[in-house]
Amino acid sequence: MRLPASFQTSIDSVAKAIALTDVGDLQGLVALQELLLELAVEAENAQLTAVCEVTRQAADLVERMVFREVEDTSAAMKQLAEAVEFAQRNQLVPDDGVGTPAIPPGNVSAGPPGTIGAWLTAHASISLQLASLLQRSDASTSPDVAREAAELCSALAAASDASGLNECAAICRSVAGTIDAARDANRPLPEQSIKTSLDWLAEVRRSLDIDDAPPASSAVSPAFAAAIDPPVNDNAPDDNEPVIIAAGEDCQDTLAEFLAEAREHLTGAEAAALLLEKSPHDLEQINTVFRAFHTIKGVAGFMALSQIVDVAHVAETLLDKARSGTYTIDHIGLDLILASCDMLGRMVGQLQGGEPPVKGEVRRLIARLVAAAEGRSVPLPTRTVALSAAIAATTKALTISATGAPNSAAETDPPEPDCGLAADPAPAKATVRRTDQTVKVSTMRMDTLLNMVGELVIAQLMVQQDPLISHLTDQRLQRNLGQMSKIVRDLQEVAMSLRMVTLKGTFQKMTRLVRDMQTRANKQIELVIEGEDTELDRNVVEEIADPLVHMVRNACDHGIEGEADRRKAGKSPTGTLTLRAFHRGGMIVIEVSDDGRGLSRERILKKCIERGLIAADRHPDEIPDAEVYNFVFLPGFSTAEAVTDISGRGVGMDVVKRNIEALRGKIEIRSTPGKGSTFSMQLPLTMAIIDGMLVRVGGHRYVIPTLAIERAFRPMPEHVHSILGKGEVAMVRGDLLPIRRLNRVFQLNEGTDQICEGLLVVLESGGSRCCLLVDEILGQQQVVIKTLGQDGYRLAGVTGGAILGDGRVALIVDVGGLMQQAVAA
Amino acid sequence: MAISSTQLQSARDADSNAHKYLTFCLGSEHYGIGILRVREIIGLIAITPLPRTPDFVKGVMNLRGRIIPVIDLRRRFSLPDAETTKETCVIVVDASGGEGEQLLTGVVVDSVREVQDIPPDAIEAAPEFGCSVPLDYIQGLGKTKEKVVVLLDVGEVLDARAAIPADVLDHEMRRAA
Repeated sequence: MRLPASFQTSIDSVAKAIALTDVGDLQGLVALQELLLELAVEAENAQLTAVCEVTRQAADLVERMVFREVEDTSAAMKQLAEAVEFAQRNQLVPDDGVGTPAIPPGNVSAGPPGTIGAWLTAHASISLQLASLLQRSDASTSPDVAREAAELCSALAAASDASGLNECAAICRSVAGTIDAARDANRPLPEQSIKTSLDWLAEVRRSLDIDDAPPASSAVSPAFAAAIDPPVNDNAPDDNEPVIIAAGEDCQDTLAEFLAEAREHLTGAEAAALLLEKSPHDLEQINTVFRAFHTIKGVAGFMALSQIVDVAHVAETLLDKARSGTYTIDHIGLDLILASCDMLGRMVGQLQGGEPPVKGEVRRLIARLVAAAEGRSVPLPTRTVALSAAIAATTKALTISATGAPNSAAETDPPEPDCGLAADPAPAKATVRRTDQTVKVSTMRMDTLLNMVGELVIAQLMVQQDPLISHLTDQRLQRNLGQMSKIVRDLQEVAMSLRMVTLKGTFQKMTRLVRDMQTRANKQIELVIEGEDTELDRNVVEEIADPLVHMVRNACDHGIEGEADRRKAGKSPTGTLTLRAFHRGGMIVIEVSDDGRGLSRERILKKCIERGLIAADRHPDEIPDAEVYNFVFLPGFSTAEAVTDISGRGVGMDVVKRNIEALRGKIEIRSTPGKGSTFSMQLPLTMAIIDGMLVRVGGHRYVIPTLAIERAFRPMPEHVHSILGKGEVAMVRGDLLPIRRLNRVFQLNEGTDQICEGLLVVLESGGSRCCLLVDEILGQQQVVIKTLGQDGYRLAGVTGGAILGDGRVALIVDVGGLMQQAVAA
Repeated sequence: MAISSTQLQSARDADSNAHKYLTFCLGSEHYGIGILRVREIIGLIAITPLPRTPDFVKGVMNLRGRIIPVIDLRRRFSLPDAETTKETCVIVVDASGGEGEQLLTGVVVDSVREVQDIPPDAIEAAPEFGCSVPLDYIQGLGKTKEKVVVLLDVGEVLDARAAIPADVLDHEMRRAA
């Protein structure tokens, strides 16, 4: 029985419509849908049930596209094209003489071509249904979709069985199983694995079409073998969904503790892992990392944080192998361990509101860890190779996704063979680090303790200086008083040291950063760390981390030249980056030095002149280096491409400078062309204590940060000039500086009005200078900065208060704010 | 900040103290502050004036190592200044309303009287005096046997932001030009 001509016309018009219709063209889509429905009717009339079914579904799909319910429209168009292709092919089935149009191909069961025909029909119909299921917006979450998808897969598996396509059946079952498992575990639908399988099945069909023989299935079997385990779970569709980890209500109490502990463990693990780079068999370090993962796993398990447990578990397994000597931690292994640390860190961070990692990353990491532990090379590239051998065409999408994974280049290297392990069973060196026992104390209690100690110091001074007591000459009393003051001083020192932490953690982060930068910039960089035990106030250490990262990155990226350039310049191919911390004059100095090319004075000067930053009458050669280098700290200057291209320095350096100044620190640059440059930060030991100059105005005392003071002098009348009766300026070593009278700034009715009776303190902040008139300088002392209670009392010109020896409060002058007022006035 | 809700909260937390008020004098007038907001009472100690603040901000003082602002309540209510006597003292109150960090503030008053129980049914809403008297910080008028006590809304009285002109508030560090 011949098919009616109208059927062929319908198919042709549908095919044409699909080729011509733009996904955004609603009218075109509606027309297409009508054509499809017509074709379905035609097919039904011709008793081609399978074609009818496929066409109807295609029409449904188009309808959803019209209603904008389909996200991936190009994929949808592809499915439509396949549907039409199917219809066209099945239209030819009667001509093959295998079956009559009266018998739907799905029912043909005799003979291989017919069997394949049945499978083809089932496949086309089911794959289209599956694909349209996946297009649903709730596809990843709805359990109904999952159930339906699993049923479809099982149906296809049955069809494959019937057609003797065992591999197809296996893959379909495996997908169905995956879907069911995901549904049971309340995980989103593994869309990607379904799509991948569909692609493979489509490829099988194509190969069947070409060869017209079942044996084609054997050609694809390696691909299936690779696909069934574990990749089906891999690269899944919800790759970009965030991993949401939440602790149960009942765990909230322990959560904070867990987070702090986990962080600590991860930091320790990372430090140990980095040491493994040099001595991969150091059992001590392996154990440290292992213990860290193990502890995190244990606690996370207790708190039902399964995602953390998953990652920690596989990482632990890998380390366990390393511990027992069956796995050598090579470069890739180390990458994996560090990546696990990062991943756990991010998961832990997410519990505190950080950015969550996405599922794909987690899955890939776990897969890589498992692979490494099993001694296989990393799964993704392997599968790509297997597939391309089997089916060249299908791999396209897959290759993209595989190479899209980070570090895939590194993964293609198989792990180095396990060599020399037996001969060298982890020489656990005697470098066992002695660590102090520590306890965790809430910062609030610590602050209270500090306050109390401060009070004690004041009270003790008050007793000792009490006229009644200080007039007593009794030796025993004096001795006891002396003893008491010594103890109080010691106590204060200990209390202050409670806030101090070493720079070790911060510097260690730089080790990691440099390691990463090396790979990325493809340079050999050796990091030398000095003075990591230098202690700083906790707040300062926290605040310094970002600027430090910036400077280290700058040094690696731009400061240190590439290997070729270094050889050309006659330097060792390995660049050296030095991080150094030391005390100098009551300040901490942190230096980042590189032996790279140094800053280009000429480029900076050129840029300055272009931007008019240098007065025209100044000869560029006269400008001292320090001043030139300081220009890179100017905002906007940093992004100037000419400078960043050549000298490379200055990206965001204004931010660095601002951060450091906010810490009441200073930064300066030393640089020798061709030899390298040094960024030197001077920071106060603590945010809480500053060196202050105590000054008096009338009956009031104020503290001026010594850091901002250049000098102080008693002005002579000839130094002071009045400008238009409004402002006053003083001549200070040839510069005219505006005079600010502290008593007028603070609107006091006291203090001297005669400039020549007071003292002028020359202040410098943010590059501008002024003179401040005070009555006298009382002396220099360290003061503890305190806030003035409520935020609302933060005032211009005052940064806070300090409690002086007599228990009274003195205000600390905000030099920067003062300058600003001077400008505003 | 709705003081009534925080007070309800406090009432639930500490039933027995919820209706207790610390009463004090400014001249001949009696005032009261909910006892749950009062931290301590100390004698007048050295106060460092703060520049460029409204006159009722007396300054800051050292409360055992902590610097807290001090308000002169007489000036806050535009009453004439009084001489400092032995009875003059500072009531340290927590302006935070019990949530979050403590915001201790000192309030200078002429003298402290007693802690009185004033049940809610003995408190009347402040009557309208016309616009000349700001009523924001009056929580109500408490009737006791001998006196009418003006019950103060601590949060409103101490709201520094309302009191300090905006131009003296927070400023930005000037960036290098």
